[in-house]
Amino acid sequence: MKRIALIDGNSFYASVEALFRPDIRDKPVCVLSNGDGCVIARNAKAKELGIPMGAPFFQIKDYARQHGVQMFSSNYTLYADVSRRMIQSIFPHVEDLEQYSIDECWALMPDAESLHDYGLALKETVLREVGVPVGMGISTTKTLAKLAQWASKEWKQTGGVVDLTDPVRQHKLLKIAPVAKIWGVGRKLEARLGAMNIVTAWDLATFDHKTLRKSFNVNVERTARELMGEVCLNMHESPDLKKEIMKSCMFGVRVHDLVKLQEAAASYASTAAERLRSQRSLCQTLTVSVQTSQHEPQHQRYYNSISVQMVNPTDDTRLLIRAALQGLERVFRPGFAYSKCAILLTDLHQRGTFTQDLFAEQQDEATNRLGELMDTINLRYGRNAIHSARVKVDPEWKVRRDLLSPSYTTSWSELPVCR
Amino acid sequence: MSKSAPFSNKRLESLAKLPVAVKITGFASPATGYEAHGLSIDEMVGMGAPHIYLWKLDSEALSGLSIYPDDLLVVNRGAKPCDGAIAVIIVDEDHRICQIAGRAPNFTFWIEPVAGQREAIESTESISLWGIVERVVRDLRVFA
Repeated sequence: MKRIALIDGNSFYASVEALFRPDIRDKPVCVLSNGDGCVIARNAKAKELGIPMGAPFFQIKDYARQHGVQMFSSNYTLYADVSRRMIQSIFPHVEDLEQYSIDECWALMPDAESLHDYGLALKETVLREVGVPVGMGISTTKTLAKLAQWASKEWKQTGGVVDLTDPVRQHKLLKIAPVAKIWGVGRKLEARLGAMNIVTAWDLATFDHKTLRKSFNVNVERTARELMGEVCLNMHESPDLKKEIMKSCMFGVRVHDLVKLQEAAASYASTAAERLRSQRSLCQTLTVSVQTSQHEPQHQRYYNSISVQMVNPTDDTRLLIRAALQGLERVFRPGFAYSKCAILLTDLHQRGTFTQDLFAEQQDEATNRLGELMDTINLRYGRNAIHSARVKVDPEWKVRRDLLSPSYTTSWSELPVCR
Repeated sequence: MSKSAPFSNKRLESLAKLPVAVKITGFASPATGYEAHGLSIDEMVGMGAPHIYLWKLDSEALSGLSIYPDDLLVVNRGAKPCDGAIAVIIVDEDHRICQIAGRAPNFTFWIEPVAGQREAIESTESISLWGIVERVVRDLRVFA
């Protein structure tokens, strides 16, 4: 029998913000999306106040201020570092570990007399060493572990750890868990299942599996099987590589001239190229788009995009920046207040799996090495330690992050201070 | 990574730490196979471990124990408090440095701004531990 745990940080972003801010520990905390657009994370206190996920910042600003809600711009530098610590802290105590997202990981638990006690001890270790609270659900399949994790949050008396390895307990939980709480069941699927009288997890688990596959797809069938304790998803079964890479951001201020748009396009193309190299793909089409805000009067709105074909699949930052700038010049029109620029890489090829164009010049070895070297240097010495001269490091148009907390763990000038 | 490293203002200097493969064209080195990795202060203090955090001190609370303002503190969140340990604690929603005295669970917390003159940290609310200060890094450079 496998003992698979799903371990996740409780209100992770909000908990990380409180790590160096004891004064906000008992207060409602919200974290905003890139560009301070809308709420993407809340702690329990903020939930109690009724602040919904995805609420636009400008709509809840006054309400939040009245109720003493602490608002933060998303500080991914900080979250990534604490996430790394959380995973490292868990690692020695489990038999295998797979990171699932920035604040969740799957873990194979060791054989313990009481998995519940083992889980509580692990939770305690992470809280002591790293400083963020975690919860976990443990069961025999990933889907059941995810359901157990839901239960650990739903029922406080569990202490944040639910051991759902016993089939009797599994069936008991399945009978009371709504189908919407199952991993992979979204709103649309929930509605369709509802029409078939599948309301609880138990209804889905015990429904004829073949009919599920026919009416829906193999994923729904797999979910049902996993709910019955049959392992269909093993550790480290990674999802498919991204088929396209998108980099876009709202500017912090409106941009009017071509030079600043060029800075943005070059910067986004450079980031997209890094992502491309990290998954070892090459791209053949780059699309650049610019747009004004939807809030502008109608006659002042503008959107345009253009695709630029690369001669041969490439991951060369310089070529991709050149393509982005070429495209930009074609779509740029003076006189508009631009709010956003986006770079989209499509037509991706995995290295070594495509046929070369007979007449095209192949990406040379020196370029391959240059890309690798740039990535290595930036990994070791920090983002943009080395970059194309086209990329401006601290541009005027940079994404708005007015409520950004310090990068306590990654910047010498922003270390936490005690007195 | 660092925006401004207090130890060095030259990025090139740290880049130079990357091993350079120098080709020996004459006699093969008799030391081949005996090379050791250089010593690492990161390794010594445990930098990179999940429970090691860096803090900065901005007070003379422990000047009597030769821990001064602007000192860099290596703080271990995993270490257990004990008699004599230096710690970062949370008092009245504030981070303070102190020396711990006594045994669990009856710890007391002290500051010593002047050698030999200890003062207890009092709080109406409960005091909680953030981490144990294990090492201090001080910049002794003189800038002319």
